[in-house]
Amino acid sequence: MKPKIKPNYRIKTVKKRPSMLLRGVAIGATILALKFAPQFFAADARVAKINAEIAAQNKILAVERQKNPPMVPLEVRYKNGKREIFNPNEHGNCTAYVKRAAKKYFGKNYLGTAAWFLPEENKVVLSALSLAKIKIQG
Amino acid sequence: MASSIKAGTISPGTVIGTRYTDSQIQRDNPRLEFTHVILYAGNGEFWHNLHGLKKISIGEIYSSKDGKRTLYPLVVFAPKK
Repeated sequence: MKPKIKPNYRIKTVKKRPSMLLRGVAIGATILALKFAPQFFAADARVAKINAEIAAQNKILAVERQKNPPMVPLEVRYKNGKREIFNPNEHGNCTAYVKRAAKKYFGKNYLGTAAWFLPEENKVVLSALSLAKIKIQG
Repeated sequence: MASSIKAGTISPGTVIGTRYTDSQIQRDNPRLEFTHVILYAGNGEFWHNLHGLKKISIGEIYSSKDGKRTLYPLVVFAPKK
């Protein structure tokens, strides 16, 4: 007996080719992309270069600002310091406070850990005698 | 001291060493010339940390409190740089 051959019910799907219009659009888009890609990447590179230059300049400015802090008017420094007098947030001995305030508000750097060590570490401008004279004069 | 402020010897940010007679350190170490420092802040005001941060005027340094003067400015300092 002849074996029964089962019919093949699988239907092959046929891919529909895209229309001419679609193909045209795709080709056009590819051509445009190829044409403008270098310019796009070049613009990107230019922006990156400018950003890098700005970042470098900012870095230099920050360093310079640290070296030479911008001159704050004396009145502003006085006001800032006065605010701390009424709202003290940091304490220490008299020398620690005076040193900190002189540096923070007036940009003067004094050295020495206690009052009696200041003459060794800093410049003595006027001594007791001259101050007494000044006191008499004033 | 007022004249040295006018002359510019004592400018804002100048530290002045003062003898504080009520100080325990001063009593314990009589050899120490001064034991307290004050900072000239401008406008005739001095800032210092004496039992808390305070501001005093030049007049308050030279005037006596309760018949007893306690602050005697002795040395004017400038930073060495």
